[in-house]
Formats: sequence, C-alpha cells, structure tokens
Amino acid sequence: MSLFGIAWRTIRQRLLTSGLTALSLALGVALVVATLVIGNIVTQAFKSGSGLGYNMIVGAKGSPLQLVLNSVYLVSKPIENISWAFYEEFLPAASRPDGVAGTFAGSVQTAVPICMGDYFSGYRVIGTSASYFDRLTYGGGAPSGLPRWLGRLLGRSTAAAPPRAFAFAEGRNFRDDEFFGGVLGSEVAAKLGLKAGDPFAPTHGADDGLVHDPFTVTGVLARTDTPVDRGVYVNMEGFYLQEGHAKPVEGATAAKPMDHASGTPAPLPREQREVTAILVETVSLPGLPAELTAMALKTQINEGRDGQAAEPIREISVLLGLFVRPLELLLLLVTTLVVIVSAIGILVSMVGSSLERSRDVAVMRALGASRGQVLATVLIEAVILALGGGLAGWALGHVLVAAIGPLITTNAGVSATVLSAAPTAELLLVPFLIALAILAALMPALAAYRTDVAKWLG
Amino acid sequence: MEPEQAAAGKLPSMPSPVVELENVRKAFAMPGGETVAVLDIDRFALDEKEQVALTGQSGSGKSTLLHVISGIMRPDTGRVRIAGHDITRLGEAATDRIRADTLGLVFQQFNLLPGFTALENVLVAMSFGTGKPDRWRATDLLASVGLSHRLDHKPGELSIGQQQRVAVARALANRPRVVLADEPTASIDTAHQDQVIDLLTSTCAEHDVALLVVTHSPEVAARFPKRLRLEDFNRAAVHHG
Repeated sequence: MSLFGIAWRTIRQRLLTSGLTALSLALGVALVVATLVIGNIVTQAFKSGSGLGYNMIVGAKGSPLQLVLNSVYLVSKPIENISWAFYEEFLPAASRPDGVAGTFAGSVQTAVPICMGDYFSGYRVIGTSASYFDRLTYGGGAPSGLPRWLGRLLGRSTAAAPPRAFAFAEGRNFRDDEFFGGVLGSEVAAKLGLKAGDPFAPTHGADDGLVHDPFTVTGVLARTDTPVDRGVYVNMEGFYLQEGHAKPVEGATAAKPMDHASGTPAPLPREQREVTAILVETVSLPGLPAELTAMALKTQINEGRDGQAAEPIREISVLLGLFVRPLELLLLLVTTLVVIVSAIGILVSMVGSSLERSRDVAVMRALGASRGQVLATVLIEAVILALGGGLAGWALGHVLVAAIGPLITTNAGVSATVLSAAPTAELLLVPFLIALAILAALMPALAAYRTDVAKWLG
Repeated sequence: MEPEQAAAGKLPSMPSPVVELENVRKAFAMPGGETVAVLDIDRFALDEKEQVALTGQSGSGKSTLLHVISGIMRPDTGRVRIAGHDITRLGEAATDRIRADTLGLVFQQFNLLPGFTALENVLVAMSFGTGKPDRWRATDLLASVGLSHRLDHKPGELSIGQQQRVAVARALANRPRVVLADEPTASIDTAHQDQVIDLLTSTCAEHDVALLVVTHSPEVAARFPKRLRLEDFNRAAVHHG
C-alpha cells in the first residue's frame, strides 16, 4: 500500500472531519474566485466602451463622468438637455434645413442624437434615430475571461477584436419615418416577454409617471453583453411628440400627437426640440491622427457655451482609477483574509484530529514506518484535502458567478457565465491558497514526525 | 553487514541468536528529578525459532524491554543486536527498517488501524518493509489465521479474537525473524487465551519465526517450553520488585 493509499484511507476514516475541512477550504476558495471573477467582469464592463463606434459624447455642461455614465451605461441622471440648433452644428449640409454644413461637421463622421428621461418597466427609454443601430457598433476590445486565457494558453492572438455591428435576434431596426417604432435590448425583451409587433407604452420621468402613447416593437436586438441589452430604444420623432417632451417656446403651440394608427403625425418643430446627448465619431483626416482631430474638436466645443464634450474612454479610466481600483484593492484585502481564514481552518481541523492521529502514527512507527514516511502521509493527506477542497471551491466559485449572473447582467450590462474568469488572479491565487493550506498542515505533520511511539503504545 | 547495508535491503539469514542484549541499562528521569532504573541486564538472548515466555510482575520493565529490543526506545548504555545488527549503533532510519523487516509486533491492545480493513492492516505493515506490498501474501496470511472471510472487515466489525488474529497476521507480514508479543492475552477472556497462544506458537513455528511473549500470567507462560522470569536477569526489576 502506497503512502497515498494510507493517506486516502486516513481521510476516509475521518470522513466527517476531513469533509468539513475540505468544505471550509472549498467555501473560502469559492468566495475568493467569485469575488475575483465578478471584480474582473465589472472592470471589463467599464472597459467595454472601447468599441462603441463613437469616441466622443457631447452633452450639457456639467460632469463629464455623469455624461458618460448616463449616455453609455444608462445609469445616473442626465445633466440637462442641449439645444437642437447645437446638435445641428454637427450635421453635414445635406442634413440641415439651411443647406450649410454645421460648425463642427468637418470633424464629424457620425453624430447620433439621444434623448432620455422616460422609462419602461424600470428600463431606460432612449429616443434616438435609426442611425444608432445602423451606424454605431459595440464590443471590440480584448477578449476577457476564459476565451482570453485559453487564447494565451494556446499562444493565439488576444489582440482587440473588431467592433461588431448590431444584429437583431428578431424583427428589424425602426425606420426614421416610423415615429412610433422601437427596438428592445435583449434583456428587456427577455425579462418582459416582449417580441416584435408588441406594443409598449413608456412612462414620463419614472415608472409611476405619466403614461405616454404606445410604441410598437419593430425588433429585438441580439445579445451584446453591453448596457445596450437593457435599453429601450424608440424613434425620437415619436419621443418628441409625447406630453412634456416639447421644449416650451413662447408663442409655440404644444404639439399634439396624431393617432399614429391613422396616419403620419407631424414632427415636432425644430425650435421645440432638445437632445440629451450626441454620440459623435470624429473623422480621421488624412495625415492627422484621429486623436488629434478629437482633441481639437473637444477643445473647440468645451470653449463654447452650448455644451461639453467628453471622451468615454478617458472618463472610464478616471472612473476605474477613482473607484474601481480602490474597490479591487478592498476585494483583494477581503480575499486575502478569506485565504488566511481558510488556511487556519485546515490547521485547526488537522491539529484537532492530531490526538486521534497520534495513536495511528505510533502504530505505524512501531510497524517500521520512518518519521519521514509519517510526515509524508500527513502532508499527502493535507494535499488531497487542499486539492480536493480547492478545486471544488474553484468550480463552486464559477457556479456562484453563473448563479448571480442575471443580477450582474442587470446591473452591469455584461454577461456572467460559468466560463467567466479572472485568469491571472485565479491562476495565482488558487494555487497559492492550496499551498497555504498545505503549509498549515506542516504543524500537525511535524507533530506526527515527533510522535513518541513508546508513550502512545503504552 | 554494515548499518547502511541493513537499511538498503532485506537481511539475509544470520547465525543465532536472533535477539541479543549485552549490558543494557535504561533509566527514566522522574518529574522530581529522581532517576529510576528500569532495565539493568548483563545478557539476554533469544535464538532463532526459539519460543520463550517472559514473565514478570507489573512494573518490572517488561514493556520497556520489548521497546528496547524493537528499537522504539534506545538504552542508555549497552548493545542490542537484532539478527546480528547492533541497532544501538545504527541511525533511526536504519533501525526503523530493521524493525519493519526483522521484527513483528503484537500489542496488548492489538493496535489495529481502525480505518483500515483487515487486509489493509496487513498491507500497511508490508508497505513499510523492504519488499513490495503483496496482496496475495496478505490474503494467505489472513487465511492462515482463519480470517479469509473477514478480509474487508474493519477492526470495529471484528470480534476481539478476530482482531487478535489480524494482529498476528500483521506481525508476520514482512517475514520477520522474531515476533515480540506484549501481553497478547491480557485483553481476552481465559477461555480464549489458549486459542491465542496456540495461534501464536503454531503460526510462528510454521513460519520458522522466533517468538518472545511477555506475560504476567503463569498459565500462559506454562504453555511455553522455555520460560524466563525478568526478575532473574534484570537487576533493576529485582530492586523494584
């Protein structure tokens, strides 16, 4: 019988104690893994803005971070609105009523307006144009989680993936002339059980606000694992026609929406329109880096009085530095404590059973086992418990992440599955934890090493 | 054979005696600082295949003598030779190996490993010897003590008598030259004492193994052709007896 066999039978002999020891380690590792993975998911969620298809957000003057959080992540409140006239400064000549290109049009490749303030069953309603889904993209950036780790392991490129165009799981994008058409993010459709052709009526300002006219779902987006999944996108022409959405202008009559079922309603006059933000993709001018164009445009906008320009990537990195990194440090501290507690658990358990073990060790020594062999047996026992508990905990951690995945998706707009991972941290921490558990077993192992055979044999 | 050689391989047959003690002294320090001599033996020997009953009063040093012979305890002075090897001059690892390969121990409380089956208890003993654990031989040994139907039973599932049989089979696991039995009948009723002694004597005779049984029972000692009183050759026992 090998030393491994002896250690294994000793574990079976003390099944309850051994099981509880492994379970305590498994729970510790599971907590560590879940914490690491969720931390990684949240970080990746904020970094996912790199493939948005726009590199600048223009909105009312105020906090640029708030502007980004509101426009990209659909959290926080909008700052204020900006005028339609200011929005038109980003449009080319062909899109303007006066036939003259806007002030910033030369630096702009795409400008998509968004209007916010309404809700539908707890989800944000965003009034926008069809170009949102026709021109913008999502995704991009380096792959995360298991795919990235596997990529590294297999020596495959983990370079940034190209941004992807929006795809529809069902139906299609609304047309600009479909004033009461709307597109639902995948999570919204799944949670609310809506499909193409279904009506839905947003509410004003909050879920219990004034109920607006119904829109019709023209399409449901395929899952993007971005905040878009939890957005309700409606044609902004229909959005403008809702009560309380027209900017009060002296002398102007508030637009009354026509019955959209019986004909095309009249659009809201330009002077009564406002937008919450403009998603801008700057042009890449020949011979000039795109960043330089963006920087020049940003400076030009920010020097004016009409609004501010914010770069999502920059703001996100400020956010990461201000909040996420310290949070990660805190998580690391917590996980370190968990690791230590787990190791102490192993120690307490093995020391606790050392009295019971001493007699067996004495018998084995009397049968001719060397001190080294009994030391090795106890260490092998610890390795089996640590590996078993550690690997079970590692799997359990991922199951935990998958279990709370829907909650993460709701709050961070990214998917969390059993394959979500924090590869580097996991590869370092899990073996470290197992090693620590084995280290903790050294004390009872040394006690076995020093067992007084004559004393225990009586 | 040098100690290193002894540690490296199975020991070849050596001329008798198989156990030999010379000028062995062993004393223990008491908590008050007093030293109490337990063994003071000029000479003791056990020949190959010899079967001896060693009697002595309680506290006469019987268990200490067995611990010294088996190398579990080192004497303060003197020589202990097992199959020709002076274990007092060997390192601990070499002594452990000689104990595993040359000596078989049967304890008063049997001391079977409770989490292991009867077969595994014999295999564990084999795993500490020089040879490889041999499942067939372990099975044969248990069959020879009448336990072929209890191979997969743990000690808790066996009767006292059956546990004692497992202990005897385990003592013979590594083809020892001598079996040392410490009060092997102390835990069993009088009716079964004869059976245990018969088992030990016949099994050791069958395997050509010397047997030294330590007992306080005159009835048990009477079953052996050769009987020794510890008080007769241990001066420390005389002094305390």
